[in-house]
Amino acid sequence: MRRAVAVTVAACVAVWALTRWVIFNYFQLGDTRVYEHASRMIDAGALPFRDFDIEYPPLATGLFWLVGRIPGDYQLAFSMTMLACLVATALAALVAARRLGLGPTREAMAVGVVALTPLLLGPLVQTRYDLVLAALLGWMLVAGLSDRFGWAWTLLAVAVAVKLVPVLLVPALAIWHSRRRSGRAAVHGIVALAAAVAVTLAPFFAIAPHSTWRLFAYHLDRPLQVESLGSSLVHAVGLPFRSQSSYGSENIGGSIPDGLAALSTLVLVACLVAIIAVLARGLRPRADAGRELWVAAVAATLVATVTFGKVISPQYLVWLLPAALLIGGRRGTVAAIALPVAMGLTQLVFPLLYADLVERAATVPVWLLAGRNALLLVLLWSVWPRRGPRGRQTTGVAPDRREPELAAQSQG
Amino acid sequence: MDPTGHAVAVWEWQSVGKSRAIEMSSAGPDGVWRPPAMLSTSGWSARDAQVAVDGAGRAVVAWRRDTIGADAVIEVAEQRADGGWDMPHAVSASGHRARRPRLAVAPDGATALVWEERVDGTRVVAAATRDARGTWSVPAVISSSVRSDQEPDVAIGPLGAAAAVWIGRDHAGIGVFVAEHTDGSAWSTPQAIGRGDDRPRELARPGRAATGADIAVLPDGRAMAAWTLVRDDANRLGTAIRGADGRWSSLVPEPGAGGPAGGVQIVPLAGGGALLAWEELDAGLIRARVQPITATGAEARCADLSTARSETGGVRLAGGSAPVAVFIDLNRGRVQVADLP
Repeated sequence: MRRAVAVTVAACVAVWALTRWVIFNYFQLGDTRVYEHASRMIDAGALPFRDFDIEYPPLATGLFWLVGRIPGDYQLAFSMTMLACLVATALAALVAARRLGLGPTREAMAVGVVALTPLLLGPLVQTRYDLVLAALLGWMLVAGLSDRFGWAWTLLAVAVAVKLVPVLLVPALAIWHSRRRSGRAAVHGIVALAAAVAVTLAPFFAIAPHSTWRLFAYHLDRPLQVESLGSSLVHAVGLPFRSQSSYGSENIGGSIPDGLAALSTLVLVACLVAIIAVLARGLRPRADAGRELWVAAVAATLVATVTFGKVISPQYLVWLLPAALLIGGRRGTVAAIALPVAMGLTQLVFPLLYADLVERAATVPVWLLAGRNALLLVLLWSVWPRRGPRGRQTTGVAPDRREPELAAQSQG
Repeated sequence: MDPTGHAVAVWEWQSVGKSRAIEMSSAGPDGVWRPPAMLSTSGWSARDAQVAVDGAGRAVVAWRRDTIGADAVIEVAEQRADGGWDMPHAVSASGHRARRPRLAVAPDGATALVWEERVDGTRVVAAATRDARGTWSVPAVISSSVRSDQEPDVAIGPLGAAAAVWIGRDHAGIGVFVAEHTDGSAWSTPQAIGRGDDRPRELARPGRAATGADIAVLPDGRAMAAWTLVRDDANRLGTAIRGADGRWSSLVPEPGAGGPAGGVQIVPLAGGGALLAWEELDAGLIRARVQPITATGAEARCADLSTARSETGGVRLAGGSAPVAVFIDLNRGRVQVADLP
């Protein structure tokens, strides 16, 4: 294990160094322009939401301020912070893969894809804070697989407080917790998470209710973004739309895009309900079997959220790490191939061909984006939780391939 | 807007499934805007529109039109004395990728137009001029001794003397370069008026700040330029003035607090001198600043457009006899306006 950890850390650092100082060695700000603004404002005594608008939750804003405490250039400090998160995500993938008994090849694929993410997605992973989410959710998976539910709920609460979206994982963790322990324990977990997240939000609702509410309204009100699945459909089929530059992104509007936005939200809700239903029916109380089913439910929730969301910013693919890489069997192999290919296509579209996409100057980025979004659908199919004949997911993973202590634990 | 209060506005417009086009509208002194009219040729994608008005209220509009493949030309449309518009025509050579036109019109109608052009993979600055009789010159590359040039700006004085400024690289490294043009002559050989370690970077703040150099010709014919270049690992503000002897020299004292800066703009004032605006990181916050410049140098103090615990940027100036600054409150994403003394 020590050797695997050392190799994982070395791979992440090497890829990061290669991408930052050799391949993408040009000056870039990305979203650090907003993060650094928030850090400077807090340093000046201003409070988020009360004194300045920000689209990120308070805990994320706190992270931006903490990065500003690191001596030297903010951009470099932020990049190094994200490197630490990449390492944490890769290590979570390693530990979770062993807990699941995926085998050395699949384990290497999972860790390798995480380590290669800076190369696959490009420099944006250094200038967006989404790797924080990947690291938190990766270790939440490890905690859940290890029956350390206190840690699992804590990590999920921090993830929700940092990015809001992980709130969609609460049902999956609650069902898993209730099956492994009890329904009451799961309810305690939910209440603790809600209280923890409320503690981070309540002071800001108290001092600036309108601006703090905008944090939620901002994301709910956004139109169909140009890289979304619905937008791909509009462009590929040639449906009418009008361009909208708003909410810090390029979007499309009109009756058809608006209808597709509503439809994709409905599909997302249906997917989430179906995932919860499969998980609830597939897990037996206190049975060790079902770890794969729970991980698949987490992965499917995240993939569905990205795929059917109104916005698919390129960095959202980071959310799928490492969960989508931890699925066993042939479908898991498909997922472990589809995700990095989707990341590569994403980088071709953004930033390389993004101007042509937005200005409708060429059809190549339209079809590349359609291919990327089709791959996300393939990814959703491949990670979708499935019940086997006896209530187990048919992953093809034999129980004796799991770590010895886990096998012993489950037999006990 | 011309001195009598007639205004012309241009913008990009794209209808569903159609190419992006340039439209315009005009308003009289009564402030009533007329219905918009399309200036660019239908079926071709056009963008980056610029407009300027001469002393008689006749406008010239320039834009970039995409042609074949990655190529693009700079086109202009000229307003006639009766208020109508001539058909647009290209002023840049075909077969290149021209972009980012900048336009200046003198009171007598003399016009200077500069743009970026990609020739054999290298960015150069090209220009064309129109004399007061309305005859356009053949386009010319004005940055012949300088390579990898970008984001040019141009200004023209009341007597028709034009000056262009841009950031580029020559054998001595990165610098700010100026070329000048008087009626009937060719553009002068570029000369460096400022040096830096690297091209300007954007300031780390919400939205994007302009990074190009800016230039203004004063009513007395002298010129002032302002820019930012990276020195000591941060953008630094630089300014220069061309005196009556034709020599460029730095303003003394240098404006600003010496912090990382960006988004510079300089405009002439009707009574002489100029107004300089920029955004600068000072005491931990980015602040939009304005400073009057006399013909001999900077005034003692600049004016902050920020209030306490706020960041401001994206400042744009309107000069002339009633100077106004428009800027962005970065804390709230609001556009604000300030009358300037």
